[in-house]
Amino acid sequence: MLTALKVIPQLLCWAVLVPVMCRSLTGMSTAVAAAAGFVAGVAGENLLLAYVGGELPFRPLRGICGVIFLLLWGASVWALYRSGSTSPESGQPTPSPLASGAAALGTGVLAGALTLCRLAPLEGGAVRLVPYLTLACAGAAVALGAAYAARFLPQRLVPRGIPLVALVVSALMLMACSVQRLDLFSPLSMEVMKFVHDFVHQFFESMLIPDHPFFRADVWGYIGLLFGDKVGLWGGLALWYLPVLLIALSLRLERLPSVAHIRQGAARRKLLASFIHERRLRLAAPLLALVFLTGAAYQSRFPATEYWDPKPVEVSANPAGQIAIPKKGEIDLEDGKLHKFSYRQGSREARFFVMLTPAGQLVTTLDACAICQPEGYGQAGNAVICYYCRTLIPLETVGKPGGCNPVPVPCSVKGDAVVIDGMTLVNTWESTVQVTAHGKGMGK
Amino acid sequence: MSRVTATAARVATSPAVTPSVLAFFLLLYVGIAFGSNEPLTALMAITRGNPALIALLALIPLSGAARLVAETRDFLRRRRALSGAAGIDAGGLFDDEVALPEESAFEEEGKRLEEQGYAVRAGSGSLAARRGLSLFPARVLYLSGMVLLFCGILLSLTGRATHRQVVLEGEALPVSRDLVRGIVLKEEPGLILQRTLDIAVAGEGGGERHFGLYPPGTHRGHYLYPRYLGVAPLLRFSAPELPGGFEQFAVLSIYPPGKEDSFQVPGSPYRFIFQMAPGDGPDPYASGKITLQFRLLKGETQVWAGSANVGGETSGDGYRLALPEFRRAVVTDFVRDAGVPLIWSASALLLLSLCWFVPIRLLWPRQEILVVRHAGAVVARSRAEGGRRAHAGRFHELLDQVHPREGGTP
Repeated sequence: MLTALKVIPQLLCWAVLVPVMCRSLTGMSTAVAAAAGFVAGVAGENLLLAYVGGELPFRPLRGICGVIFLLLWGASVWALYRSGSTSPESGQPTPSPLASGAAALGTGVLAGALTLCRLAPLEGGAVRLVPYLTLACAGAAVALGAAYAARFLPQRLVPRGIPLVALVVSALMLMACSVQRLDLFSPLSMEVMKFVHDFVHQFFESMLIPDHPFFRADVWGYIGLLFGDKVGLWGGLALWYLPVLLIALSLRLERLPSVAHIRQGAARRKLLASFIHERRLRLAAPLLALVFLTGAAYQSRFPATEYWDPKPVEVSANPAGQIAIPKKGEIDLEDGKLHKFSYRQGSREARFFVMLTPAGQLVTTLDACAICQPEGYGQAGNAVICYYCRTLIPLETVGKPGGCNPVPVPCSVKGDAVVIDGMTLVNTWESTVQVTAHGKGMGK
Repeated sequence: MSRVTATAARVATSPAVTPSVLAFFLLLYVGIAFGSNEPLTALMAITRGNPALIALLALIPLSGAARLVAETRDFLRRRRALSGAAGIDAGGLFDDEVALPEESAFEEEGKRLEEQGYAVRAGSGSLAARRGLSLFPARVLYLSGMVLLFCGILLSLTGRATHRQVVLEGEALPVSRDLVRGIVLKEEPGLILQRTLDIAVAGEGGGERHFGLYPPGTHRGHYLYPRYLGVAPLLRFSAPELPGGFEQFAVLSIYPPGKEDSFQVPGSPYRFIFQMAPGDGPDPYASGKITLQFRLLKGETQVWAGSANVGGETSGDGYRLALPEFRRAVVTDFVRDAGVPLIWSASALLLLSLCWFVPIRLLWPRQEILVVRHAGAVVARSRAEGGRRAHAGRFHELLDQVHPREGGTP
């Protein structure tokens, strides 16, 4: 029952998407192609989960989602560019049956694969037979049933061309963002944050602007907003919504037809009013796409998964400045879970965690990465997650530097204890937190 | 104009050039972001070292310049057409164009348009009406700003050279004999900056120059870009293993207070880690009342720690440290970059463009009507910046008056 609940949002998206596609493209054959694609997507992804395992089955899907989102961006800019043209295209060309079938099939494959990933076990492996078959049947039934429902969809509300693409892509984004390993919104937010940090730093350097000790505190406070913890979120939301908003704007900016040749005011006004009314109705698809994208962003920010996130245990150093944590004390460091600790040296404090990687190595890392605000990590299945940017880090790579990986701290295993140098730990923490909180080279 | 030239001109003036080039660089950025924590810096480095990418980026200012020329030409042609000049082909210069039968009489319509707030100019066989201010100046400022901005970025990317040097009181500026006479930091809150910095330099051939924080001054074609403040105390240090002692100015980048810098005593295992004590009074760098907190490491082991005022000394555990005098220092980047003034000029032009565009577009946008009698037909044209519907309504009314019967060719 719980398994079925997990995929209801995806199936609802699918149930909305197929009738719209049927009406916009070539009717019943579109529904059949979409149903076949869905079943193929479910089956193909489950085979990958069963025989490839690890992160590999998710990577191509995530890549495809990223590419179609980029294509949506391109299409939106193109739509806006055409809307300002003095010779707008007259109507949208109807795609050929072959192109319609291919589009429906491709959408179905992606939708099926994305929906199946929602059921994929966190610890890896294929989806069990019953839920797998039920999902394939449900997806196909929804698609075929949608062909009947499509008859009741008013023709004037049916999107064509770029607005239809916006609707399809946003629905697929909603499906993707409900699976943590396919989520695009969180990495987008992180990239925005990196870009803002990089840009401000480069701008100051390029324009020879002095560093913060020379600035008035209030002015620097405003500049500091760019390094705040919500910059990534708001910037990410802007990039997330902008393509659909641009498409809506392009519809709104579509040039009215020339009525100068009509010599009756009433006839002119009637023609213009009719065009404006049609134009407003065509905004329905971008509005629905905005709803889908909002759902996707919400799923990304507030995932349903619960994380293992123990309260940090306070530790102290010996007179030589060494922190020694027993491997098998009150806490079993070798149980495969992350274990958080905090260390205080005077007024300086650092948070870190120790865990055993799947390769059997005990690693110590800061509870922070070199990019994001230090909001810490939690663990779910075979990955840890950065709470700030929601990036999943496979356990195999914990202990290695780079990206949003937790920053490694040198440690050694002496006898039955893991030993860390307190000074190194605090210095690493301070240099990391200083950089992520104030921007590179700007808080030093 | 040959076909090739016409095609080249059409491509150069296409509004799609800038978005296409920027989209390409965006894709490149996205690709780099997969493998780098500093994708913007990496993208700049890749572009700098790749002539093809530089050429691609150069399309933006070239296209901007071409559009500036094309739009100016159109503006001047439209203006001449509205002023009644003969022989101007106004096709494509207006939003709406209707051909009316030859017998259509429009000569009496000027008065009605004047009552509607238009400035009317009636000539032999033509009627021109206009009102509002043109957005063309904003467009010129915008395109010029974009051209300057991307020229500046290109120059900065390809020609920037930076050398970091310490500017020290009592020493000459790099590559010259201009002597740094003094460095003064003052608390003088301004609109943006809290402090002022004055680096007074006595010229080799006489006279004195002053370098501040912003705008940065130039020295032999290089901008002086102050990065960090520091002090250079004269260190007199002796230790049980160094009975003869050691004496040298040590340049320490330890401002603001709390920032650490280290100094390795040459030829010995000793290394000092210094920081400036914050103090309760005025800024220690500005006042010169500086207390240095230090830790002395021998190898990796801390053997002594303490603090000493500049001008004083301290000792303990067989170690002795004296700081009899100090000089102020500024860690400075000497930057040669021809793009900086262009980018600032571009910012000013873009701001001016915005200041013109917003009020004019909202309050008083340009609206134009031109009716011209040609051999065999009357052509009525209309244009409204911002696409105001009210102007289109007035144009249609004019057409109704001029030629009340159904017809006309759009």
